[in-house]
Amino acid sequence: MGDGSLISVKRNRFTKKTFALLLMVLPAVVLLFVFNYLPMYGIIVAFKDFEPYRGFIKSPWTSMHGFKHFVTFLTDETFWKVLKNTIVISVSDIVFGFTAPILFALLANEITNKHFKKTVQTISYLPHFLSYVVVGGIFTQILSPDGGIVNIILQNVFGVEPVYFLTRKEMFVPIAVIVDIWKSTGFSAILYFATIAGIDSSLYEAAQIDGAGRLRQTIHVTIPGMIPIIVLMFLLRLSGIFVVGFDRIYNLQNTMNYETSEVISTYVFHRGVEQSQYSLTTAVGLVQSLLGFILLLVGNKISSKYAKLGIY
Amino acid sequence: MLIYKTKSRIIFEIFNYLLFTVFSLSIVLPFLNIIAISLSSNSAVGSGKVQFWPVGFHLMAYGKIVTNWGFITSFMNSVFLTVVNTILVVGIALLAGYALASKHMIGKKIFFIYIIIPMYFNGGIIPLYLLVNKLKLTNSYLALILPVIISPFYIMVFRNNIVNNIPRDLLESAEIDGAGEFTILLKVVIPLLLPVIIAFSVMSAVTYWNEWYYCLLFIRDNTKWTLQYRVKHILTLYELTDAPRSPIKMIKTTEKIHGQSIRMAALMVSILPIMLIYPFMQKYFIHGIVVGAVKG
Repeated sequence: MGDGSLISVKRNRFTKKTFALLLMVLPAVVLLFVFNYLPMYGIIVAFKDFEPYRGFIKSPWTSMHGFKHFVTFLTDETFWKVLKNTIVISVSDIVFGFTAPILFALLANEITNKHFKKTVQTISYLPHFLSYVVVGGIFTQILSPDGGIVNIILQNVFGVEPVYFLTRKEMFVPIAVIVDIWKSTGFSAILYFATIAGIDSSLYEAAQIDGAGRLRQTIHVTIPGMIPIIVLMFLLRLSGIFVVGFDRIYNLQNTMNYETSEVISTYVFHRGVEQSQYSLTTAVGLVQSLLGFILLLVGNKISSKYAKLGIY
Repeated sequence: MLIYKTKSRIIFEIFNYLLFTVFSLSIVLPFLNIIAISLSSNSAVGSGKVQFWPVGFHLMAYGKIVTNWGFITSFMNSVFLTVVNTILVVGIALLAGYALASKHMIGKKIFFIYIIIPMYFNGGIIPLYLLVNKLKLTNSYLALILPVIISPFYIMVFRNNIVNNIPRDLLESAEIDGAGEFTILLKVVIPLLLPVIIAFSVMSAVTYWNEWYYCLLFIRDNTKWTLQYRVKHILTLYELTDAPRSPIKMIKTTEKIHGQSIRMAALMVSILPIMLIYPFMQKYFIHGIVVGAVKG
């Protein structure tokens, strides 16, 4: 840095300034400690038989060297069903929900009418800003067998009897995937729009001189330009394969579709919060986040390796 | 300039416009449908005649909702929480980000790691639930404020923005003029970071307005419910009742109003504030995600 020694002496001295600065980080440090670090410590209840009046520390350790709850849920048939549902929804989300914004950005990039493009973008971003309570409410209404618009249209056009969409368990996964696409495709595409906008325009000019049409430009310039960010997003997404968000599922769930709709997050809520099986569900949550963490590390490794290969 | 279009290009473009038209309609039409239901008569809704235009138009469902004591209470709660939480999350992040960017700060590396770790790891929902119970915050507004007003991400973005985008000389000259840390933050840093601050404020405000999950976890007392949680409640109830305290004002489906009209009216009123600011705030939403993308 080339700073004089005088300044570096000053920097290390505890002055009034330093005190003011410490005061400034204090709220963040305290709140992070209470609401982030203490719950991390609270994971300890996964290895204990938690008794509310005894608290985190004094509750007794479980049998099996503290691993009783892990053995319990790993040998529980319901858990494996829930895990299967989670992975089925997650993989479907990746196949359809992850690719939708990429296609959206690529295709929207081909829209030549500026007003049309702007209108489409404005409309498509909107659902992102609504809560899943609202989105769930909208879909429950339009899919209702009792005056829902989808059934009205199906009946008028195809003469089909009303379909009980949300109570048929085989329809839950497609519905959940469609709801996700409906809500987040437009907004997620912003990232890809930004990526496309950042591609060097001289590459397109060079491609044009070589006689490439729009399609060939897309294949040979646009898509390669997007690949690094797609790979990065994909690896991030992959690390969340054991996580299906609570909000979407909970707001589409009902007792009739439980068998296919119950995922880890809702299972933890139902068993933990509603049935007070705190230790068991903390154990489930711990395994879930450890798996996610490992996948993130692996993904990170692959991505840095790939980035090296890709660029140089 | 005339651009020559091949036949296949023309077919593609027609297909493309059609695709985006259908996609846009798939978003717009459900809204038209639920608005129409909220404005239609009991018999029209009951017999499933309502499509995209009200049948037997009336505003009584909205009248019921906006005069409902429980709904009004929840609306005010959400306004309060949105304002307070937005100010706190941005304010606390600005303070911390500024401190971490300052050359006078000590132990930067430790604070840095301390703030980054929660971005990648957390204890999960059950330990948080138990902790909030233990702290006796259940049924308190504090349970909807304290756990959600720290954003490590905002802190890092503010810090990076100060380090990278604000000239050192500017901060130093303010210091030489005798300005204290809080004055520098207020008079120099905040005006220069304004676009990011507005973007984060708008993003946060939407998040807090939509909050219902912590309400589900922590709040039993229905006078403290957030609006979205109230709407969730109204949507899932078969009979719509008001709080036990004011049994007179029970929302009941009358001969003229279908229950579904009331539900959809509640849903529409709850998203009205977002719909109103959305056209003006769109560029800030996008700015927010671009900032996020550059960082991530």
